[in-house]
Formats: sequence, C-alpha cells, structure tokens
Amino acid sequence: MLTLLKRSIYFVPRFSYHPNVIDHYEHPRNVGSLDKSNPKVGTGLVGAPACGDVMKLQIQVGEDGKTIEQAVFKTFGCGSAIASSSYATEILKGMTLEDAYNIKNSDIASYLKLPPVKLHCSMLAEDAIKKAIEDLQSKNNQSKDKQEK
Amino acid sequence: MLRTFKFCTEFTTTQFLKLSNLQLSTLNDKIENFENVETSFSDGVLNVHLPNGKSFVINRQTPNKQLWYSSPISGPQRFNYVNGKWVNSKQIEIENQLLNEINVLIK
Repeated sequence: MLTLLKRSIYFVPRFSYHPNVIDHYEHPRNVGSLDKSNPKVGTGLVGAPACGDVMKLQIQVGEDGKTIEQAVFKTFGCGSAIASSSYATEILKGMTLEDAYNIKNSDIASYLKLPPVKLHCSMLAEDAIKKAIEDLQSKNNQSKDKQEK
Repeated sequence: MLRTFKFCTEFTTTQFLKLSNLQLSTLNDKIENFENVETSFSDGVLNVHLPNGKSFVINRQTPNKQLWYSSPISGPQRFNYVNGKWVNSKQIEIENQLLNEINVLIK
C-alpha cells in the first residue's frame, strides 16, 4: 500500500501546460470580431478545421493608418492555439504595422513555453498576424487606385 | 510574404499514409546510428530525444498530406511530397534537415 502511494507521489506528467498558457486559456484577452468591411480593419484567417486549428485575427489601425489600436481574435483549437492568438492580440496593441509584421512565432512560443509539438500553433498565430496586415495593405492599395482614377 | 501550403492532390490518403510511414521509419532507423539519442515512433509520430534534453517531433498531418516538423533550433516547418521527396519551402529534404540539425546539437 505504501509503495503504491510512493509511486503516485513520484509520478510526473510528461507535459503540462505552462501557467502562461492556462492563464490565456481561462482568461482569454480580446475575444471578438471587428467589422471586416471597415477600411481600417485587417482580417487574417488561417488554418483549417480538418487540421484541428482555425484562427481568425483582426486588427484595427488608428487615424494615422499605421498604429494598431485594437486587436481581436477567435480561435478554434487546442489550448496552445488559443493562448498563442490571445497573446498575439495582447502584444499587437500599440504596435506599428511594421513591428507587428516582424513578430516571430518564437517570441510567442518562448513566452508561452510551448513544447516542441505545439510550436506549430505559434507559427499559425504569426501567419494570422501577417495575413491581417496584408489584408489591410491590400485594402489601402485598392482605395488608392480608386482615388487615382 | 504569404505562406502557401501545397495540397498534394495527386495521391490518396492511403498512399499518403504509406509514404509518410515509410519516411518516418527511415528517419527512425537513421537516427539509431547516433549514440545517446533516443527515439520513439508510433501512430505517425516520431519523437527524437537528445542527451541535452532537447527534442524534435516529426508527425504526419493527414488532412494536409504533409509531414510536420518541430526543431529546437529552427522551430516549426512543414514538408510536402514533391517528385518523390519530402521537401520544405527551401527545397531541403527532411532527412538532410534532421540529420544536419542533430549533428549541430550533439557537438
């Protein structure tokens, strides 16, 4: 009986979620949606349900058109995917588009202490950020073309 | 720079499972030549544990028909089956990528 008890005390789980991940999972920041048609909003949609992860990340820039004032997300997937996109929206606020485009998946992964198998989640978040910025830029290009005509 | 993922529509899921399993077990065999490097391989997931505690995870991703690769040096990347080889976006074969990185880490 004592041996059984001793064994259960020494059992260490091979992988447990880091407190930073649990925090974002239980208290996700900035969950929501912005108006896709707003010219100051950029939308990045990445992943696929079949793969297990879908992330929608949206950013809204201020009057200067360069500084991110708001960032929201909606994610379907594992705790690490949710935490990655939640953390991304946290750090995006106040950043310029240029700095935001340079966010690396390794920044997100190191903050969340993601294990090897979950690094793909942080990569997805990086892709979502880039897509949102590119969406914004293509909207601006389109409106410039219209103005020139 | 938009990252595009090539979905290979030229082979079926069954063929993908065969090809991916073949590649993963080949990798598993080649890694056994390294001293002090442990591997575990089951259900399409290959774990590689280095003596310094770092590890690689390579797994099949059936919906995309890709091999997903996670490295302690270079982070996550994906490999597509192109012309008989599993290659990444820089056209590096998965075997070369893995063995080179292991060699760097065990020095």
